[in-house]
Amino acid sequence: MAPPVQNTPAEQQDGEQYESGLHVILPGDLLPPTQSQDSEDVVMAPVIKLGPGLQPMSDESIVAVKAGILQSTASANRWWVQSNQKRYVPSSGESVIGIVRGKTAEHYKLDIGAAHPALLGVMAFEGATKRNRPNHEASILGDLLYCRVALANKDMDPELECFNPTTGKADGYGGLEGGHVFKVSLGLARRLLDPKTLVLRLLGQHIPFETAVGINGRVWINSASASHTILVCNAIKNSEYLSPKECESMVKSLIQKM
Amino acid sequence: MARLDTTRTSAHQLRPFSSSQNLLNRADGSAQFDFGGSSVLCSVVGPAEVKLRDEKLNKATLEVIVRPLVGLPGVKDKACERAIRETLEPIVISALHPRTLVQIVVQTMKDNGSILSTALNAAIMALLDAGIPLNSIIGSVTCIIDSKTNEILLDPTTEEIARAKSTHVFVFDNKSSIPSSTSASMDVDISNDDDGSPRPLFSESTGLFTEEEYLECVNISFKACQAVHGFIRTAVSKKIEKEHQQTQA
Amino acid sequence: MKDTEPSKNEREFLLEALREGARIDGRKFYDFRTLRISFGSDYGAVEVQLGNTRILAKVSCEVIRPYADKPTEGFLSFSTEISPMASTVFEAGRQTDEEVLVSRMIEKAMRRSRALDTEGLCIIAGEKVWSIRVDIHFLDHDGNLADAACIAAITALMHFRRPDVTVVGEEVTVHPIEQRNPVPLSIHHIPISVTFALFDKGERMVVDPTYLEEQIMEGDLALTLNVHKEICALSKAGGMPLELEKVVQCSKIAAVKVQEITEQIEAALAADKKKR
Repeated sequence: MAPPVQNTPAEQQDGEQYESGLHVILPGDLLPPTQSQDSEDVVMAPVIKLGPGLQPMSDESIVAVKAGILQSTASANRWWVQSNQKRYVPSSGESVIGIVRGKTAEHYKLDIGAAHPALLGVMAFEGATKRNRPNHEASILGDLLYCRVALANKDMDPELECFNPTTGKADGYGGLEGGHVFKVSLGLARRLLDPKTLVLRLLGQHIPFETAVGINGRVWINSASASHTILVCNAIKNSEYLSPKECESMVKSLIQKM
Repeated sequence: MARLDTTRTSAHQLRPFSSSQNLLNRADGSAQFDFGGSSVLCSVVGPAEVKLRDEKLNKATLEVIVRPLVGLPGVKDKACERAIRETLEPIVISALHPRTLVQIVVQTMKDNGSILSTALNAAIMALLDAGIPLNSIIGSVTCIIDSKTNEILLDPTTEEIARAKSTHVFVFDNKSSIPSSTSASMDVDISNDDDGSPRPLFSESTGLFTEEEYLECVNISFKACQAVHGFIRTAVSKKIEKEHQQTQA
Repeated sequence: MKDTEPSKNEREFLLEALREGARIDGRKFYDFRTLRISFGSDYGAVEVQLGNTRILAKVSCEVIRPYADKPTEGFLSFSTEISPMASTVFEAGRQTDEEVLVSRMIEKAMRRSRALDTEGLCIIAGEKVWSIRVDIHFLDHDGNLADAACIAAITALMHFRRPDVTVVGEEVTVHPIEQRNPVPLSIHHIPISVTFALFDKGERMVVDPTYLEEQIMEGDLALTLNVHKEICALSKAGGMPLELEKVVQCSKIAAVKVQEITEQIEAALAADKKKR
């Protein structure tokens, strides 16, 4: 869990003078007009694509709806708010780890940590046809599956698939056997997707382990022994709010204790 | 005129704010907000699974539960629940998460007056922490009119409220104020009152008071809310920046 | 909201790790999580953190009339409704089984073991006695609510000071805390509860289970002791049967834990007293 950030009145004095390169944005803040659409020059006005955390309002202004850091692409036509939270809201194309909670003739029902259960069609596996249903009888209640969100819409229950739609191959999607799964914040999960992330790199130098990271904040770890898996899990959980230096010493001390 | 709360020198002085976010492990978001000796902890869960009978097809259901420090929840707490829910309903963009539940639990940790305002400020910070989409942030302050001096006192303590002839709770959002002009000063200056007209989101008054007194309360509270907004902005920014810097590997 | 079952992988991994002598959070079998005790500005307000489990206990008092058959006895009551803040499993106004167990546990450990001298709460026999109320607020649930609540409740009672009273004939004057030094309650002994989670038919036992361990365990055993190694309460609410010698073994472990926790509570109280 995060160490709570204390704000004392003393810190509060420097209020607005507090300057940094980051543009922190809060709900209700407008997208800076100089950077957004230039209405006078219609030809030059780029089409702006809004990412998470930004919403167009009825008066055509663009306003932030989440607290975070305002980010944009170099060409400045994509804008989004980089923020961190714990609750997953599905978005199509994202890889998630789900727990099987039920099965009907057509679907598996999975818990992916979102508000609604996600549906995984029994045919949504590599090489599945009506004649040739892949044998997933082993996959029953309580199993972990690594899936891709195929459809996400606020008005419908999310749908999942267990193959890469561009290749039609499994590409790593499917059941996760053994190992342990634990929850982290969505921000940490996004960082862990990069295998070069410091904590994963440091741990990898000492312990061989397998990992699957779900954007929904679930991380699966498997290694040769339970004690190794426990160490890796705890190191990852601890790493969230540590600076690179602190992270190095944390991993070091855990490895030494082993 | 000296206040009953001897730690403060002026009638329009707020007690020191402090806050912390992300204290709880199970909830999706949490925050504790303190106005001096009053402290409220608030947790937020959502967007989460909603019970069928509470389900709304076009928007999220907002549920607020208020728990008192001593004793079982009573009528006063139910009134608080309603006040908080109805203040937050237009702030939360609930249409983005239909058929879900956003549950807010408010727990008083220390009570020394102005609890409803403290709770509202804690709730907005917990919603920010949980990443619930909001169309603005709110800030709340309480003020009283002293029965002896007829003076308007901001952010009263329990002792001061006991001597009030009327009590007023206000909520303002940050839309009626320009972010750059918000001052984080705790002493509220009422001399220049011409930047933006106050538009309260929520106002609850008890006791006897005149129209002029009420309007003055609105103006003073509006100024004070700017300080609360400024504080929330600084507190949240600091947390985000700190997290960001630490993760730049 | 429904409780979410852990996945098969978590269940199997937890049991496999236990068989290798390890717990998922890196603790030894008989280790408690880090215990943090902090006090509010008022007397009798205590926040206890046991790992990620978090509890606030608040003691309050009032003067009331005693029961006719027990004219010299004061009252001690506990409010243990589990707030949905701790976990969405709990709903306001609807009791879960866990809530009933925690509530019974506190009742047995504190009231029935006579930890508080209720006779000492009498002001005028048959007329006026103190009623002490402990509100226990569950803020965050990561397992072992009972032990954490027990620590919070007894620490809050030890921290609490009631206003002083003077009795002249039938006239009772209650002196506000600001005017006259308030009086501490008279505590007979400090009951501390230690919960064991049982796995593999009692082959493996761990103390202070986390939420995940509670979900997977086959049964539990809660012992309440004081530093004098007196057992105040013992609760084994179903689950798998346990050999008697295991119970004895548990009580020996619990005695050591109770000693440690009591010392920590006393150290925290002493540190707070210094600050005031």
